[in-house]
Amino acid sequence: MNSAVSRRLVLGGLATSALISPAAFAQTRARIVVVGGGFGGATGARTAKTLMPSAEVTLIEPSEAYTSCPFSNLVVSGVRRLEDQSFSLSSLGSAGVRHVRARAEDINAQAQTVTLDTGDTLAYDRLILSPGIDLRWGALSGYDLEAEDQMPHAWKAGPQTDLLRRQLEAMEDGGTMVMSVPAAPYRCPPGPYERASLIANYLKRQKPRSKLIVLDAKDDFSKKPLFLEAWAKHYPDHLEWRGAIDDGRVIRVDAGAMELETDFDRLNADVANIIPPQKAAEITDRAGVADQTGWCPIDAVTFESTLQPAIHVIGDAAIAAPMPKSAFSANLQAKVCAIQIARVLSGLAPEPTRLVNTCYSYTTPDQAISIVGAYSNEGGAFRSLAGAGGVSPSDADVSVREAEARQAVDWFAAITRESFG
Amino acid sequence: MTFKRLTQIGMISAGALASACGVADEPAARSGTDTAQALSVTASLAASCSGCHAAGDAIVSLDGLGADAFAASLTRYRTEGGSTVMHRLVRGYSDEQVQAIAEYLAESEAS
Repeated sequence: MNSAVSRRLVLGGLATSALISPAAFAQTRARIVVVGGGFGGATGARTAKTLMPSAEVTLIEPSEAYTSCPFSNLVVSGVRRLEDQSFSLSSLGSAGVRHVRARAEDINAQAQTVTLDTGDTLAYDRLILSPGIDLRWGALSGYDLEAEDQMPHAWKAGPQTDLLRRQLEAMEDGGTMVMSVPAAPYRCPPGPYERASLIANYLKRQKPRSKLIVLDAKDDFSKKPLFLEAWAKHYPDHLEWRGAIDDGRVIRVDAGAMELETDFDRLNADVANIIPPQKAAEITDRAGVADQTGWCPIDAVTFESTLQPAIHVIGDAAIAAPMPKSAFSANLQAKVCAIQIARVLSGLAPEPTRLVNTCYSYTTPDQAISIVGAYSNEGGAFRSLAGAGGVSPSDADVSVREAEARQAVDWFAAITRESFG
Repeated sequence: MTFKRLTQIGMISAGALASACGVADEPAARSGTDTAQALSVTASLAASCSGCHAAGDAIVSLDGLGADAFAASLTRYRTEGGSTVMHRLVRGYSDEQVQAIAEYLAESEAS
């Protein structure tokens, strides 16, 4: 390979996602299989192929497009279209990734194979699992698969997002909406509170006699002081939050009766949004990489499972605390994981690094707040870096909130472009 | 920018990072394989940036920034008061890491 070609390859890789020289890893013909076409999986497949052009990179994902959870609360509140949440995976094909439109049904960690719902079996040298979450049906008494039609969760974006939106639109002015929020850990820690903010904003504008009651299984949550500040300022008559200490923990729901029960209270809802307890998606159980918590323990440097060799788990399914279960985390973990896999397949030792998370939450359709964290992964465990990270300032001028809302738009454009092309 | 130039940058960065992270440094003389390793250390650090920075207005594009301007800008976030996302994040990095990331991204965006 002459230097001009090397340079083009290098620049091509760097320009898209600031990665290492693909030429350096051109030799490996490893079979890399990625399960899940979200922010983690799409980024992981793309990055792996960029770093290891001779490798055979396969993405297993039944859908042609991914529907983004980030920004879907704007859809629920009626200021964004669901179509704008959809991102085609077709550009992965032009990047050299083979997209197999099937569902991964089983994984044999010893034989290093993935069995698809088509009956086909794929062998891998390295497997990246980025399957996201499953809802724990029945973990909240009365909330089973049938109940999602009456009481949507909308915690996987798509038809459920649309259903919750339509129920909210159909609710009469003067109606009561109730939201149930689970204990941690769950996908997108500040997500329920952003949703509550934007729904209250909708009620204030369109159904001023209505109210949202948020029943929470915990007392503390991400960006709490900033959310409470925004709610007191914008939604004093439209949003009521009850923490666990105020009997906020929902212990049972009755979807037919549209009733939610706490230890000492029963509430009837015109619209109910149940965000149920969650776990790593089922395929992680089949692979034997989920532990008794329902989530997947990993080595923080390589993202390799501590339970099964050659299987790497990234995104919401992984235990990466204090890194949160966010799109930013999944996208970054995918890039770092692919780099480490490329190193290992090239005979190099894995190398610790520093990672960050950035998360914006809207408090109104044009104001936002943020939380960030910086992390070390030395020694195979994530650790927050002292002195770094934190949330937006309290009592800030409206211009600060508006600036972060504009930054959120740019963040979403950047991360969806990098992940989905 | 040439491939050789990029290689040198990677080696400089890795040396800085190795000491900054408390990772045992390696001998100064490096083979091609070591170069790849050096690049990847910096690359994994810089991988955080592209999660937000593309062709936006509210979040600046990193295109066309020289290494010095890049490093100065990052350092200013740490030394000046402020509460943006970058003010909060940059405190997680040493001077050497900031310099390495700046040189790496500046070179990758140049030419």
